[in-house]
Amino acid sequence: MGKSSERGELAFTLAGVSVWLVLVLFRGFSLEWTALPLAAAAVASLTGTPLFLPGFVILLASVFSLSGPGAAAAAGIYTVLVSPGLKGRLLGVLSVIPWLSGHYSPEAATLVAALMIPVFLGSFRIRAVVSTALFIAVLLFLGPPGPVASHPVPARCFLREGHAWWTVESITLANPEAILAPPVPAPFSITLEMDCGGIRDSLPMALLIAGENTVELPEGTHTVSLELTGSDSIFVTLIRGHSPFNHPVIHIKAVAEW
Amino acid sequence: MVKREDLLAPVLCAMAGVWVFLAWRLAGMPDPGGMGRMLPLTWFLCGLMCFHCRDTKFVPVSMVVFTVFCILWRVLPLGHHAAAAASVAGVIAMGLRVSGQRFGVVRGILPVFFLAVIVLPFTSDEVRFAEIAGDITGVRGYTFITRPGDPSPGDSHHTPVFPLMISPGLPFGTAGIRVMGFLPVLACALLMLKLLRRHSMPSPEFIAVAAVFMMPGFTLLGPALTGWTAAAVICGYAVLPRGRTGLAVTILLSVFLVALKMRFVGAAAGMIAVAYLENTGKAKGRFLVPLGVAAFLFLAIAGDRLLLGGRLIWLRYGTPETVLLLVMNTIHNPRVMLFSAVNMLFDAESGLLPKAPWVIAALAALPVLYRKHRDVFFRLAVPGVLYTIVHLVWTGEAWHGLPAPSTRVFMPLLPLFAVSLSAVLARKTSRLLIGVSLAVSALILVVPESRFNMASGSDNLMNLFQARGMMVSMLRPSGMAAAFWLFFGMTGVFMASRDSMTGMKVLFLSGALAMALPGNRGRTEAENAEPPLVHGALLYPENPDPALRSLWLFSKQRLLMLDHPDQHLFIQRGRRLFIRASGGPGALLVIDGDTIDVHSPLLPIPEILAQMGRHGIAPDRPENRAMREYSLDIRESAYLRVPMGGAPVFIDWLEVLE
Repeated sequence: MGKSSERGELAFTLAGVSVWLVLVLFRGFSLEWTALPLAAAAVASLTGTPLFLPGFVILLASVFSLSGPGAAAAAGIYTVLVSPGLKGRLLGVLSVIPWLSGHYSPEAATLVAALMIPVFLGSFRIRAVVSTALFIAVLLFLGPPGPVASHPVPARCFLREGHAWWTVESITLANPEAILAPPVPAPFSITLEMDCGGIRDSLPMALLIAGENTVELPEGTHTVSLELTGSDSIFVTLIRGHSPFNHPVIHIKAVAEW
Repeated sequence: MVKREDLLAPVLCAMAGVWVFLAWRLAGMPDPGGMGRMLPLTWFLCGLMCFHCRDTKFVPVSMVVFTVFCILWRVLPLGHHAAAAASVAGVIAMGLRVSGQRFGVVRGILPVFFLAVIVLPFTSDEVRFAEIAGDITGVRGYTFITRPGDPSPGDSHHTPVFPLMISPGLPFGTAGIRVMGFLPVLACALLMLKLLRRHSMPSPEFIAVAAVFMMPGFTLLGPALTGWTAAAVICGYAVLPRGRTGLAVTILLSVFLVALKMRFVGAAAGMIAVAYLENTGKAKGRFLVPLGVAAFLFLAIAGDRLLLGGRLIWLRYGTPETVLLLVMNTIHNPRVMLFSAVNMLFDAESGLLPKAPWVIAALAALPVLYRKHRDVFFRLAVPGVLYTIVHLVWTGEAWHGLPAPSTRVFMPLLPLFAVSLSAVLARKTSRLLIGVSLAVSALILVVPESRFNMASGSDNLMNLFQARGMMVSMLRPSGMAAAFWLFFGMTGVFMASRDSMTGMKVLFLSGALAMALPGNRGRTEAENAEPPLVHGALLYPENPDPALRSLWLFSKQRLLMLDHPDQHLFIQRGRRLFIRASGGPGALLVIDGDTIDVHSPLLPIPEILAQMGRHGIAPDRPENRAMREYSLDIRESAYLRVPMGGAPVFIDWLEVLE
């Protein structure tokens, strides 16, 4: 490696670190975002390949979405595959780990663990074949990674005197739960219209839990009316996991009166 | 005899279709019956169109990206939309590849058109045109629901020309209307191809097909509206010969353009002016005739207005009002016009460049077009620029026409930009900008609702990326954001003219960072507040249609309204809360047991309207009250609400300091 390319590596690593520092300054420290300087250093090891600069720009540009750590992880995986040096490949794996900390699931952890194997393989072709084989094996055994458990966010509620309504995001495998906070701290009656579909059997696909009520929801359209107290939230939870040829989805309309 | 290589693309496309169908179901992504079927069908159609095409490298690339997003769709914020967009991008890329072959323009466009017809909702003026066409032909089936602010049911400023054009499709329903709307798109592409070929410009087929895809939100993916017809007319004019025949046809085309939509009067005037100047050679005093015609028209309108009260000449909404509007926008309101012009380029919701960055390359190429093909330059630039000026002056701050896809107002500029892009297609920066624009187009096609912005201050598509940093917004003017993006645009044009890839990438990076970094840390536009910060509060006005706010005298932002004690803002952690709020008499806010009076006065009529004879205080409406800023000390958490019986409080923004 010539001196100029070393300087290039250093410059782009520093650029990644600088962007990360700006993010820390404006958004506060987050373990996930440490993926960014690591990924920048990893991608910088690709100096000389035609994808180096675009990869780097895409990586940094991803900071404008909050999916930056995900993009950093993708860049890390890419580096593991194509980086000619062990240092770059190790940095690639390291940049995936912070993303894993924020998106932990057994599937994702297994995928990252499997990624450690190709890091130590010198030939690109062997790395590519081994990585693909491992990837397929993990997918076959564990299925694709699922949504990350996060703090529950209630649906947006609007209320006027005596009645309330909600805008509820559709429930899917990517967004498996909806929460409706009680509109007022007093007894109220709520009517939920739920269109459930996308599965291939008549077994329940979701649960509606509100106060002491639990309702199983199979495929079809359901209208449920409940009398609740002012401290009862309403939870609609998908109980189906990922399964090929099933696309569970629930559309919810809810209005309440008191 | 069919060669083996000729079958490669069809087979690959068919395999891609099968894989999309299977992978969609294996991944369990939503909408398997809609997009999950239409995308594979699009690939099959693409395969049929790609016979003989040997450049297939984009199919595997598209499928790899699609597969990655399929696997990760439950983890990534863009979810299955990104997977679908990757697939559509592959179809678009194949369309561009096949464009150079026999009937390549039609073959390149058709698969995406098929998808657009199926997946795009039939909305906006499409329905209105269908209704008018039904009234004319008697084939009824569509009724436009009157929007707030419309003159009256059945009243319309539309001429019957475009409805008549689409009327043959009426008996076949929405798809039939869309097919009729597709014909002007095709005509535009073919005429552009003819123009480019006549002047021996590079890659004419590529440009003709790419142009169809590159006005995101209003490509052929857009509704059947008048914009493509106008673009086709301008392209048609550009291929006309000089001489009397050409001049006569130009006049006919100009009349047709105005009959199509009054908005295109500037383009029509430009066409006639250029045709006149071309045909008068270097005759002495030739400039006096168009000036004389313009003066005559002006005098006729003004005389009719002053002497006859506007009885003879009926402009949109009446001559007096139109003349007043023109006077107001040109003489009294130049600052607003200037800002509107900047917004036309950079506004996140409705501006041209955020959705179609390829225009940067086109702008950089205008000098090249001028040097190499001066005739073409004038034939396309004069109608385009005159159209833009007339449109801006005519419509003022309402130039964008939201919530309809705003890029439709730029359609008469498409021939100019596309043809000038052709002159610099070989540049790497042009390819990069085209690629980004086509990616935006693909995303908009798979998330069609993202085209319909509601003048809320944030763009639907950017919201998908959770990008809420420093962006130009006509609703929330910011000198710093406008200055930054102006600099960005000018630097982009410079980099494109130098063909500096590194410079362009660094520029993109700086733009991405500007969008990433919040302009005001901790500040939330109140109408965008989400749970658990807000509970129960309504929005004012409740209907998001921007038409309702278009005549507001001051800020046109929606406001968060607290008018019931059970509605509240919940500050989970923080020491100090800043809010900007207003309210009428009796408007109070309660926080931690303290009561704050937020009654604010009605504002005086803005100076611009005072100059035109409207004086006094603005009508008693919430949007006309002065916004006041309050700084409140809070404990670790606090509820902010109105007391029982209190008047409504309207909040513009809030900021929590920890």
